[in-house]
Amino acid sequence: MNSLTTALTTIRRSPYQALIAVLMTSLTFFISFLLSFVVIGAEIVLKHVESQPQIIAFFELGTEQEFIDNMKDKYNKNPQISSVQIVTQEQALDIYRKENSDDPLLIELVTADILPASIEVKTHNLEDLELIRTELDAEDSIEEVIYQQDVIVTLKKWTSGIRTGGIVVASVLAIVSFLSIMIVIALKATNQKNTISIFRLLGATQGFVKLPFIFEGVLYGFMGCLIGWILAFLTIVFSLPQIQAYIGNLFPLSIPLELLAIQLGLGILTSAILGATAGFVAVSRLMRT
Amino acid sequence: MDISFSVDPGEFIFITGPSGAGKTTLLRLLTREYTPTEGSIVFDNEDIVTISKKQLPLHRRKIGVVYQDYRLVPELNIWENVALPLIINQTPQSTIEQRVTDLLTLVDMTSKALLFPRQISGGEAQRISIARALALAPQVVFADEPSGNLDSETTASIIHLLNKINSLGTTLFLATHDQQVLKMYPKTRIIKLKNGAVEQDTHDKKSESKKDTETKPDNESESEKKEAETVTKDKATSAGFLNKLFKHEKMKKASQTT
Repeated sequence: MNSLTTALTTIRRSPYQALIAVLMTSLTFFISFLLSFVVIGAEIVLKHVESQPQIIAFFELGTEQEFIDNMKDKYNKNPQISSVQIVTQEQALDIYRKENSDDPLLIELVTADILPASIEVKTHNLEDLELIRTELDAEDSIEEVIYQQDVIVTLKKWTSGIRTGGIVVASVLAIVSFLSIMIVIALKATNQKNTISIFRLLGATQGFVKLPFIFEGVLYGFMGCLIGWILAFLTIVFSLPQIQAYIGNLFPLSIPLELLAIQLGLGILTSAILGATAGFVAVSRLMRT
Repeated sequence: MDISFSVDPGEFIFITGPSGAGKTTLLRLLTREYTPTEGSIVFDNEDIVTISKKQLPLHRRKIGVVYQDYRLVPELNIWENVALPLIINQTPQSTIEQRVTDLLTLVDMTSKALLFPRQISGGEAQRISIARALALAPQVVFADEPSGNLDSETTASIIHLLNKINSLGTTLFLATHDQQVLKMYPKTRIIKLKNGAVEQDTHDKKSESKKDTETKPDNESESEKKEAETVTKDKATSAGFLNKLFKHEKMKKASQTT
């Protein structure tokens, strides 16, 4: 008749109350796990976009290689710029071939002569992009400048928004779960008020009385976390092919096993703390009255 | 309540008086369910009024209480109810098993060990309540109207059982307003309460008559020490009483079978 056995017996004797607590906790952890996937996914997309050239300037056809090299040296010396890369006409053709590998007719028609060389520039600060773009635009041999600042800024805003929103939603759900577990345990403890008073009269310490309720809270949290994690895992497994089909070959997606393991570990820890605190608060309130 | 009396180890005391006289309040003061507004209650050389919350569970384990309404835990079976004080006291499992078996044998309830309190009669529930009160071999047993809900035959057996426990060295308080119970042991000390005060204590009369016949002790301080000892522990008697009890029961059973 140890505390864990007592907690399991109590759960078995009132299955519907236990079900409410477990369902609420499962929902909390399911949504929290999914939100964390979305936030981490958005961060990965942002990092990918940031790793791409932020300004691409295409040279006019027939621009001298010497001019291109001079321009590379010039921008390399600029302290605002973090990296400069030249894509020659041959390299441009290679990229073109890779992107259209499924269409041999297009590959046959296009040669390096008709593809422009380009200079790809990244800055340390996004604010400097506008200045560099203006400079490049003013160069005579530059035909077109592609500029990605808006994409990055928007993506950053989205990522930050998702993160903040996720934290708010997860926090609200965690509070609701905490209250659900607390109410369920408080109901059971109130039901056992007579038993608790007998325990106290027989010389039971506060710990002896409280421990089964704390264990019960931990069990609700643990079960909720496990169910939530399994649901999130299944959602990822089944939705990954659809997401991959939607975004194409932009990012190769795979099941993040390490991330899932970390999530499960942190989830179990959080659920144990959540359940234990809820159980402790519930029974402490009753014992005060 | 405004009362003052002292009890020697191993004594048997009837606490009597009409309803509302303060019998149950006395029990609750002894187990520190209630705290007196003033005064002191000395138990085992310790003022229980001033003991800390942490010490309270340990104090309660020294007193076995038999309640009128039995106060058995309905979710636990008979065996578990008797084992409960031992589990609370973190007694080793093997000792628990041995002790509970012995206690159930003592109260003649072994055959119903796996039943739940709702499945047994009032007299049986009271026997279980007594067995539970004895589980930790307490120095003092307080039986609060143990026969309140029982018929006369069952009452007699319960009171005899409690008397037997007392005869083996445990201090016994038996709160009752049942005159039949009081008549069962006419020579026993009676503390009669009325409106929260001691109306009569038969011990005082005996003491006074003893004082008249006996010479005053030479050692004054020794006499004072004895007087100040309210409810003290006779360790040897208390620790050994259950063993004696069980031996007694076993010998009785053995003689019956032979």
